[in-house]
Amino acid sequence: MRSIRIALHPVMRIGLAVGAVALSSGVTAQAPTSASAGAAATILRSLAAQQEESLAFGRILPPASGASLTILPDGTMACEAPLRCLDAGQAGRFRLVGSDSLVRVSVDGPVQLTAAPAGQGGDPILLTPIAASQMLLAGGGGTVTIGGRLDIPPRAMIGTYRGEYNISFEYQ
Amino acid sequence: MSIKGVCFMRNIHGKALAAGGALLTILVAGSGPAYAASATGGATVKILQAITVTKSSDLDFGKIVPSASASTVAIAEDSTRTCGAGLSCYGTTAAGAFAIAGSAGESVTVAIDNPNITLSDGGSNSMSVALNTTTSGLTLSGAGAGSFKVAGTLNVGANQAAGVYSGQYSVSVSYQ
Repeated sequence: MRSIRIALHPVMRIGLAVGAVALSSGVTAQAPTSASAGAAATILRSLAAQQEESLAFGRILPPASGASLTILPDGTMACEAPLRCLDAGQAGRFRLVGSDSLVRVSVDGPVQLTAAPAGQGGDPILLTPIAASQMLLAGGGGTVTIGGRLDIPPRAMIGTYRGEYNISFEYQ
Repeated sequence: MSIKGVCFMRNIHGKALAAGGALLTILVAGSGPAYAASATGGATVKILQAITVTKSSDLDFGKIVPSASASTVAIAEDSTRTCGAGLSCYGTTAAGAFAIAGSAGESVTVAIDNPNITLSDGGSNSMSVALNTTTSGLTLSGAGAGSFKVAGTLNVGANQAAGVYSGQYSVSVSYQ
C-alpha cells in the first residue's frame, strides 16, 4: 500500500501567513473608542438591636375618672394632678449596633398593658410608644430611647400591668 | 460510551450547582436582612390603691387631780401612763391609734402633722401636749394593712382648773 503525503510549497505558506496578518490588522483598526465608568458599593454591618432598659412608669395613683401619663424619650415624666406619680419613671432604652449611617426607627402601637397575674385587673391600659423617627449611628452603634403615653381607663383596678411593644430599625 | 459519560458528568455538575444554590440561600436567609433589625421592649406600670388612714383610738390621758406644782402625765404607745410628781391619776388611758389601708407590700411613711397641740376646756383654760410616735414608716401587710400608735405628754399646770379638756391633732401617711 502506498502512502501519499501532500506538502505545501514554501511560497504558499508565506502567502497564507501574510493573509492571516492582514486579516488580523483589519479587526484592530475597527475597534470602538474606549470609555470608563465608575462602580461603587457600600457594605453595611447587619443591624442588631437589644433592649437595655424597660419602659417603666412606676407606681401611680390615678383618679377614678381615668388619666393619661406620658414619659418622653428623654425620660421626662408629665404627671398632672389629680393623677399622682410616686416614682420618677424610666424611658425604655435600646442599644443598636451597625454601620455609621442614618437609621429609620418605627414603633408599633398602641399596645395593651394587662394586669399580672392575668385576670387580676380591670380594663387594659393602652400604651402608645413614643420614639424619634430616625437616628444616626456613630462609632458603630447608638442608643435609642423610647417614651410612651399611658391611657388609664376610669376605675382602673389596682395591680401591676405589663405589656410589650415592637420596635424596628432600618437603614435609610 | 463517551457521550453517555459526558451526560452523566453534566448531571452531577447540575446537582452540585443546585445544592450550592440552596446552601447560599440558607446562609443568606439565616443571617437575616442586613439592613434592618427589630426588637421587643417591655413596659410596666403599677396602679396603687389609694391609701387611707383612720383613727382607731383617741389619745386619752384619763382623769387627773392637779397639785400646787406643775407636772406632767405621759401616755406611752402601749397605753401605760406615767403620772408626774404631785399628781393623782386614775381612770382608763389610751394611746392614739391609727389604721392604714393601701396596696399590699408597699412601704409608707408616717408623720404627725402638728406634734404640739393645746387641749382646751372650751373656755380660757388650756394645757399643752407634746405628741410623738416611734413609727416613721412601715410596710403594709399582704392584705394592705398597717397600724401605728401615738404617745403624748400632757403638761398640767399648777392648780389646773377643773374641766374636760380636748384638742385635735392630725397625722399623715404616704407611699414611699
